Amino acid sequence: MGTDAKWVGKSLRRAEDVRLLTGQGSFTDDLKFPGLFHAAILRSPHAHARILSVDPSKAEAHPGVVGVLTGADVKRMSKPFPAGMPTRLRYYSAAIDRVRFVGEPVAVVVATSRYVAEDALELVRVEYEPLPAVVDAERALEADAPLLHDEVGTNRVNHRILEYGDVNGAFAASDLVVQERFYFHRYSSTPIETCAVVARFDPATGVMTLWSNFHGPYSLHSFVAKGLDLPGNRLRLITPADIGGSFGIKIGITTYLTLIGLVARKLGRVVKWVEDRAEHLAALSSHAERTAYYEMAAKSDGTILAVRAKYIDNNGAYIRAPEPASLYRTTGNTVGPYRFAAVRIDANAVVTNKSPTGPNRGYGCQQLYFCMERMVDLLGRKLSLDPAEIRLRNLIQPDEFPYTTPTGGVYDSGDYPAGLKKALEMADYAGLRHEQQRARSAGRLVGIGLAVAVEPCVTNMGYLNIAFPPEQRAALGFHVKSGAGEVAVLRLDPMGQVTAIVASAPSGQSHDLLVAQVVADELGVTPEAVTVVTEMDTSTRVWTISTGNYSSRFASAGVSAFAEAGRILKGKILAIAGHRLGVPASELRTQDGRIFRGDSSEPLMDFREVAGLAHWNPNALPPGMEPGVQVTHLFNYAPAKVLDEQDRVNSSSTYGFIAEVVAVEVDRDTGEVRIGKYVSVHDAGVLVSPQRVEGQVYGGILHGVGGALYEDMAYAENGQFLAGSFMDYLCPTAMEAPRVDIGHIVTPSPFSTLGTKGCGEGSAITAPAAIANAVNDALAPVGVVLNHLPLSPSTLWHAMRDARKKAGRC
Amino acid sequence: MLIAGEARFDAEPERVWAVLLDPSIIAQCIPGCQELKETEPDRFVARLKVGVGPVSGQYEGTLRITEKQPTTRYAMAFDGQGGVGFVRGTGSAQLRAEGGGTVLDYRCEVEVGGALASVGQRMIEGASRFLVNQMFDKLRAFVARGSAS
Repeated sequence: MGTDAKWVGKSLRRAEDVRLLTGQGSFTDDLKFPGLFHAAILRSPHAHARILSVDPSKAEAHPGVVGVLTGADVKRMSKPFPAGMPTRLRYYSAAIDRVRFVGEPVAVVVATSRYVAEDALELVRVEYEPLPAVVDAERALEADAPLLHDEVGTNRVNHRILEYGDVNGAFAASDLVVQERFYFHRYSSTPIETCAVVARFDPATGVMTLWSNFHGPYSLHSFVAKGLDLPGNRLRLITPADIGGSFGIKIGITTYLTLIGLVARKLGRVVKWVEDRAEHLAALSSHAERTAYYEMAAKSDGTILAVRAKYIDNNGAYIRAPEPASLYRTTGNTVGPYRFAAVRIDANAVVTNKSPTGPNRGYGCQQLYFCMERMVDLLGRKLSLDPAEIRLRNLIQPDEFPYTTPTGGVYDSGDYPAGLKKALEMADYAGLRHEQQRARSAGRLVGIGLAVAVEPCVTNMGYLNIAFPPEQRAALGFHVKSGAGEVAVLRLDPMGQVTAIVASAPSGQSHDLLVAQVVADELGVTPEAVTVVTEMDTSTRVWTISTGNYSSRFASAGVSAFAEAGRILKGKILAIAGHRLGVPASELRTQDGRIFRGDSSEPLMDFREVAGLAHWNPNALPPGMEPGVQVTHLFNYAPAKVLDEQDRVNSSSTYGFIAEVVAVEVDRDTGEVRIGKYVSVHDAGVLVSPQRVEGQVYGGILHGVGGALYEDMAYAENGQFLAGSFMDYLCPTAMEAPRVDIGHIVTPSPFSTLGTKGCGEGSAITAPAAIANAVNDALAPVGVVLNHLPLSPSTLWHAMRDARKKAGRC
Repeated sequence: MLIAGEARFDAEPERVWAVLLDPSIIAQCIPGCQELKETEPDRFVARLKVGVGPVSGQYEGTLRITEKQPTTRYAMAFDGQGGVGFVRGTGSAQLRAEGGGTVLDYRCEVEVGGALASVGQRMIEGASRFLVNQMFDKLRAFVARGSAS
């Protein structure tokens, strides 16, 4: 660490609150453009149909309409999007000759106002020939299932079998094997701000400028450029200072960046499109729902030996990058916090007539840990071992870090037993069990659920290669990936004031606050004295391929970049001052924007004098030093290495830990679940702003509660989407929010500069597992086992009724 | 979705039948119907403007009479498309004399898609019943007018 931390670790007030609470935010929709036109998107009402004809002539003739973009234009003007896997599947920003999900763009109408554009949508004539649809991934794998992409020939578009360690040996040596089928349903995030894009194409320079609330990963810059059929240096992506949330969902905006760019180019106009809530729910993104088959081999003392799992991910109608990565993003942490050494994963990405999927707060983890933590409970139940006890017997021990997992993950630091014990203690676990006994004898359905998880942070680009089999990866010219970097730009202006420029496109996580705290500590100034610029612009900012706001990366990768940039800048400041003063720089220190020698409290210079000299009189600088006082620093996680030939990869750069204890009561008559207690303990390494971490924990829990109990992107069997409004798609509100007790343990990461990790996905990955375990515990006395989500009142009520019937007590 | 029920008329089946198969009358009775044109025998094109909850829009479609047993039974298939989605399905009506009047049993199997399904689904059954009742009220008025004359 080596930092004299004065500001890091403090919960300072967010600078952006004043701006946001007084309506002074700068969101994409707030941007003003002269001569702006507005787009509305015609979408498919069919889950699967051939497009026989599209006739935009009546819409084009409508007063106020300036033009229409159809699939024929898209085919002519653009190229299919690149895919992060070997495939013949062709995916464009709008349907060309076939629609494959309800809500798929079919045409774009541009008019003088959104009202006119929406009215004119009804005038676009589309003739469809409906085709049979398939929405269930397992059904889609059957030989007679409707085929989505003729050019692929199968609905299974990616398949890898990944085997690590001696799986068969472990199963042979086991005392028992537990088997189960799981279904993790489809839900999303509901950011307050929906997607928004403004596009302008300059025919003179050939540059397409797109203003939007896209927040990375900036590796997708090339995805959009390919879609637009433009060279990378002709595509400028600008993101304003404020984004109203995303949680990964807005990464799905990439196809709209392309679509709105195309229409702006075709019509030669500046065009704006703002997604409405119905479009957002029906057609933007969600995580992939997963059907999974698990087998867990164990010894009779509860020691887990191996896991065999088959993942069947339902990716919707198209594979949109970074998919099919929900299958692989968790590779390094497949074993979670447990010590077992053998794993076999049969990974399947399947296309169906639903909207395409992508990252959603946890990206792959919520599915992984729901299955894993249910399996551990099922094993414990079989062995009559308490859920806490069986977990404690299997956790990786604190003296084993850095711990290399069988799948290639390198867990940097942790004390998992201490984390779980802390959660149990905070929840008064023994007391809860005692209360449960009393409640049960009174006929009440009370349950306690546990979940422990390793939280992967700062994706290593290297894992993306797993979608390709080793023989293809060995081929010449294969694009091998690795790395997890972030960039920091810091400078002293001629008056000696500090400006920090962030490329991460924050969406409400206060990256500016963290940067101000870190830079203040490194330079010896106050956080208020640091101006942080967060607008992103791919043409003027320095950025790396992994730059962006995703994968819980800023508090570790971004903070590391700025801490190191601060050290470099301070070194330069002291070198200039030392040269000027004739004193070795090593004897100088900074404090409150001034420079002191040793322990003396007499300032010798201040930043303004140093900066003035460096900017105005470069001749006075130490020999060879470049003028000005600025640093551009790229931080890269050293352990973010390439995938090896055995498919082992350290898929993330730093790994946090979560332990949760949840107590619920199920209403026998209504099937409703009430959360009585929620304890959440996190190890996110060194905390820069504890208050910001707590915000992430609260938000993650509520997200997970929504997923476990309420939110469901339901589809009818014929592919019609049934959750198109907030009356149909139920988000938890303040009334459903449980009281949460938050605890922390801190094991500093040895790989990040200040020992920080991430925590942005946090409890969103554990809450569904913990709640499902609690509900199953509550329902155990009535003989109900539920291994699918959501745990809605009707699901519980029907399960309880069926169990009563079976028991012959109806 | 299945919409089924019965409607009673104070007239003999022959009279009800005549009203039910008169396109000019039907056009006045279907809520929101702006046009109903017979393009060939037993084949119609229609233009409708209907609202279901928050989803309102214009629909254009076709209707085919697929079965006709004068005064006792007929069946149809319909298919409509609009900016907010589509409707398609089949329906049948059975007529029988009862107590000097006519009882009509109807049965419609309807499939909806697009915004109609995603936002309107929970309201659509109630709204359909409302629209169907509205239509029969008007039809009864025509039947009564005819019987009186």
